[in-house]
Amino acid sequence: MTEGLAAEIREALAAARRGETEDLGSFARYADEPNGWRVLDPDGNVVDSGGQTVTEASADAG
Amino acid sequence: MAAIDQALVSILLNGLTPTGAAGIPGTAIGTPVGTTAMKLRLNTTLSTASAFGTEIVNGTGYAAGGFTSLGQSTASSSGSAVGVPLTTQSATATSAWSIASFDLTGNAAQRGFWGPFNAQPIAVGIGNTFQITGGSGAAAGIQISLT
Repeated sequence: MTEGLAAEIREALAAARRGETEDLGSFARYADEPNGWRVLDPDGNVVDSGGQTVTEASADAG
Repeated sequence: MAAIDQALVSILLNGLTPTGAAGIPGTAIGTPVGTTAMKLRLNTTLSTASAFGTEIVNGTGYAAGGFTSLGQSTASSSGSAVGVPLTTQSATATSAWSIASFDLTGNAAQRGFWGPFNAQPIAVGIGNTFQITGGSGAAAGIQISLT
Protein backbone atom coordinates (compact mmCIF):
# COMPACT_ATOMS: atom_id res chain seq x y z
CA MET A 1 0.00 0.00 0.00
CA THR A 2 1.35 3.41 -0.88
CA GLU A 3 1.67 6.06 1.76
CA GLY A 4 -0.79 8.21 -0.20
CA LEU A 5 -3.47 5.54 -0.18
CA ALA A 6 -2.89 4.84 3.48
CA ALA A 7 -3.33 8.54 4.22
CA GLU A 8 -6.62 8.60 2.31
CA ILE A 9 -7.90 5.61 4.26
CA ARG A 10 -6.88 7.17 7.56
CA GLU A 11 -8.66 10.36 6.60
CA ALA A 12 -11.82 8.48 5.59
CA LEU A 13 -11.85 6.54 8.84
CA ALA A 14 -11.42 9.73 10.81
CA ALA A 15 -14.29 11.35 8.91
CA ALA A 16 -16.51 8.34 9.59
CA ARG A 17 -15.73 8.59 13.30
CA ARG A 18 -16.72 12.25 13.19
CA GLY A 19 -20.06 11.28 11.65
CA GLU A 20 -19.32 12.97 8.36
CA THR A 21 -21.18 11.16 5.63
CA GLU A 22 -22.13 12.04 2.12
CA ASP A 23 -25.28 14.16 1.88
CA LEU A 24 -27.96 11.94 0.39
CA GLY A 25 -30.22 14.90 -0.34
CA SER A 26 -33.94 15.22 0.17
CA PHE A 27 -34.92 12.54 -2.31
CA ALA A 28 -33.62 9.80 -0.06
CA ARG A 29 -36.20 10.66 2.57
CA TYR A 30 -38.98 9.55 0.27
CA ALA A 31 -37.33 6.61 -1.38
CA ASP A 32 -39.67 4.11 0.25
CA GLU A 33 -42.90 5.88 -0.66
CA PRO A 34 -44.86 4.96 -3.77
CA ASN A 35 -44.64 7.66 -6.39
CA GLY A 36 -47.47 10.12 -6.19
CA TRP A 37 -46.17 13.56 -6.94
CA ARG A 38 -42.80 15.27 -7.18
CA VAL A 39 -41.31 18.73 -7.55
CA LEU A 40 -38.34 19.20 -9.87
CA ASP A 41 -35.93 22.10 -10.05
CA PRO A 42 -35.03 23.63 -13.42
CA ASP A 43 -32.20 21.12 -13.79
CA GLY A 44 -34.56 18.20 -13.35
CA ASN A 45 -33.44 17.30 -9.84
CA VAL A 46 -36.12 16.09 -7.44
CA VAL A 47 -36.39 18.64 -4.64
CA ASP A 48 -39.51 17.20 -3.00
CA SER A 49 -41.84 14.28 -3.48
CA GLY A 50 -44.74 12.52 -1.84
CA GLY A 51 -46.60 9.27 -1.85
CA GLN A 52 -49.69 8.26 -3.72
CA THR A 53 -52.95 9.96 -2.89
CA VAL A 54 -55.62 7.39 -2.19
CA THR A 55 -59.22 8.50 -2.19
CA GLU A 56 -61.82 6.27 -0.65
CA ALA A 57 -65.50 7.04 -0.72
CA SER A 58 -66.86 4.20 1.32
CA ALA A 59 -70.48 3.21 1.55
CA ASP A 60 -71.10 3.22 5.30
CA ALA A 61 -73.49 0.50 6.38
CA GLY A 62 -73.12 1.28 10.08
CA MET B 1 -62.29 9.98 4.11
CA ALA B 2 -65.12 10.66 1.72
CA ALA B 3 -63.67 11.69 -1.57
CA ILE B 4 -66.54 12.00 -3.95
CA ASP B 5 -68.72 14.99 -4.64
CA GLN B 6 -72.01 14.79 -2.75
CA ALA B 7 -74.14 15.39 -5.83
CA LEU B 8 -72.44 12.43 -7.48
CA VAL B 9 -73.05 10.33 -4.36
CA SER B 10 -76.76 10.97 -4.70
CA ILE B 11 -76.74 10.16 -8.40
CA LEU B 12 -75.03 6.85 -7.71
CA LEU B 13 -77.25 5.95 -4.77
CA ASN B 14 -80.47 6.89 -6.51
CA GLY B 15 -79.45 5.09 -9.66
CA LEU B 16 -78.72 1.86 -7.83
CA THR B 17 -81.68 1.74 -5.42
CA PRO B 18 -85.49 1.66 -5.85
CA THR B 19 -85.98 5.36 -5.32
CA GLY B 20 -87.96 5.83 -8.54
CA ALA B 21 -91.71 5.66 -9.03
CA ALA B 22 -93.26 2.34 -7.94
CA GLY B 23 -89.89 1.06 -6.77
CA ILE B 24 -88.00 1.30 -10.01
CA PRO B 25 -84.37 2.42 -9.89
CA GLY B 26 -84.21 6.15 -9.34
CA THR B 27 -82.47 8.75 -11.49
CA ALA B 28 -80.52 7.10 -14.28
CA ILE B 29 -76.82 7.42 -13.66
CA GLY B 30 -76.38 8.67 -17.21
CA THR B 31 -73.29 10.78 -17.79
CA PRO B 32 -73.06 13.23 -14.88
CA VAL B 33 -69.48 14.12 -15.82
CA GLY B 34 -70.06 14.41 -19.55
CA THR B 35 -68.72 12.33 -22.40
CA THR B 36 -65.51 14.15 -23.35
CA ALA B 37 -62.02 13.94 -21.86
CA MET B 38 -61.80 14.55 -18.14
CA LYS B 39 -59.50 17.01 -16.39
CA LEU B 40 -57.45 17.08 -13.21
CA ARG B 41 -57.67 20.40 -11.43
CA LEU B 42 -55.08 21.59 -8.90
CA ASN B 43 -56.10 23.71 -5.94
CA THR B 44 -54.32 25.94 -3.48
CA THR B 45 -56.97 25.26 -0.82
CA LEU B 46 -58.56 22.00 0.18
CA SER B 47 -61.55 20.75 -1.75
CA THR B 48 -64.52 19.53 0.23
CA ALA B 49 -67.30 17.06 -0.38
CA SER B 50 -69.45 19.84 -1.75
CA ALA B 51 -67.08 22.39 -3.30
CA PHE B 52 -63.92 22.82 -5.33
CA GLY B 53 -60.80 24.14 -3.72
CA THR B 54 -59.47 27.45 -5.04
CA GLU B 55 -57.65 26.72 -8.27
CA ILE B 56 -53.98 27.56 -8.67
CA VAL B 57 -53.05 30.27 -11.13
CA ASN B 58 -51.90 29.25 -14.60
CA GLY B 59 -48.36 28.12 -15.25
CA THR B 60 -46.48 26.58 -18.14
CA GLY B 61 -48.36 23.39 -18.87
CA TYR B 62 -51.30 24.22 -16.65
CA ALA B 63 -54.31 26.29 -17.68
CA ALA B 64 -57.53 27.08 -15.85
CA GLY B 65 -59.71 24.02 -15.50
CA GLY B 66 -56.90 21.57 -15.00
CA PHE B 67 -54.56 19.16 -16.69
CA THR B 68 -55.93 17.66 -19.88
CA SER B 69 -54.73 14.61 -21.80
CA LEU B 70 -54.73 12.44 -18.71
CA GLY B 71 -54.79 9.30 -20.84
CA GLN B 72 -57.13 6.34 -20.59
CA SER B 73 -56.96 4.87 -17.10
CA THR B 74 -57.11 1.14 -16.64
CA ALA B 75 -60.72 0.27 -15.93
CA SER B 76 -61.79 -1.05 -12.55
CA SER B 77 -62.60 -4.73 -12.33
CA SER B 78 -63.99 -6.65 -9.38
CA GLY B 79 -64.13 -3.40 -7.46
CA SER B 80 -60.45 -2.50 -7.86
CA ALA B 81 -59.26 1.09 -7.61
CA VAL B 82 -58.75 3.22 -10.71
CA GLY B 83 -55.37 4.90 -11.09
CA VAL B 84 -55.18 8.45 -12.45
CA PRO B 85 -53.47 9.72 -14.56
CA LEU B 86 -52.17 7.22 -17.09
CA THR B 87 -49.75 9.83 -18.45
CA THR B 88 -47.49 11.82 -16.12
CA GLN B 89 -48.72 15.39 -15.80
CA SER B 90 -46.22 18.25 -15.51
CA ALA B 91 -46.55 21.97 -14.99
CA THR B 92 -43.94 24.65 -14.27
CA ALA B 93 -44.74 27.47 -11.90
CA THR B 94 -44.43 30.99 -13.27
CA SER B 95 -45.53 32.32 -9.88
CA ALA B 96 -45.14 30.40 -6.65
CA TRP B 97 -47.69 27.66 -6.03
CA SER B 98 -48.87 26.07 -2.84
CA ILE B 99 -50.79 22.98 -3.89
CA ALA B 100 -53.23 21.38 -1.48
CA SER B 101 -55.78 19.29 -3.34
CA PHE B 102 -57.17 18.10 -6.65
CA ASP B 103 -60.55 17.69 -8.25
CA LEU B 104 -61.15 15.16 -10.99
CA THR B 105 -63.72 16.76 -13.23
CA GLY B 106 -65.61 16.38 -16.45
CA ASN B 107 -64.43 18.45 -19.39
CA ALA B 108 -66.96 21.13 -18.50
CA ALA B 109 -65.90 21.23 -14.82
CA GLN B 110 -68.50 18.78 -13.54
CA ARG B 111 -67.05 17.60 -10.25
CA GLY B 112 -66.38 13.96 -9.53
CA PHE B 113 -63.74 12.80 -7.09
CA TRP B 114 -61.52 15.04 -5.04
CA GLY B 115 -58.76 14.64 -2.51
CA PRO B 116 -55.94 16.31 -0.59
CA PHE B 117 -52.44 15.54 -1.82
CA ASN B 118 -50.28 13.42 0.42
CA ALA B 119 -48.09 15.75 2.54
CA GLN B 120 -49.92 18.89 1.36
CA PRO B 121 -49.44 21.80 1.09
CA ILE B 122 -46.78 21.32 -1.58
CA ALA B 123 -44.54 24.32 -2.23
CA VAL B 124 -43.55 24.82 -5.86
CA GLY B 125 -41.23 27.76 -6.41
CA ILE B 126 -41.06 29.81 -9.58
CA GLY B 127 -39.31 27.81 -12.28
CA ASN B 128 -39.86 24.50 -10.53
CA THR B 129 -42.04 21.79 -12.00
CA PHE B 130 -44.85 19.90 -10.28
CA GLN B 131 -45.57 16.42 -11.56
CA ILE B 132 -48.24 13.84 -10.85
CA THR B 133 -46.94 10.39 -11.58
CA GLY B 134 -48.65 8.64 -14.43
CA GLY B 135 -49.00 4.92 -14.77
CA SER B 136 -51.25 1.98 -15.36
CA GLY B 137 -53.46 0.91 -12.46
CA ALA B 138 -51.66 0.84 -9.13
CA ALA B 139 -48.66 2.71 -10.56
CA ALA B 140 -50.56 5.97 -11.02
CA GLY B 141 -50.10 8.80 -8.55
CA ILE B 142 -53.76 9.00 -7.56
CA GLN B 143 -55.79 5.96 -6.64
CA ILE B 144 -59.56 6.23 -6.60
CA SER B 145 -61.80 3.65 -5.00
CA LEU B 146 -65.24 3.21 -3.49
CA THR B 147 -64.23 0.75 -0.81
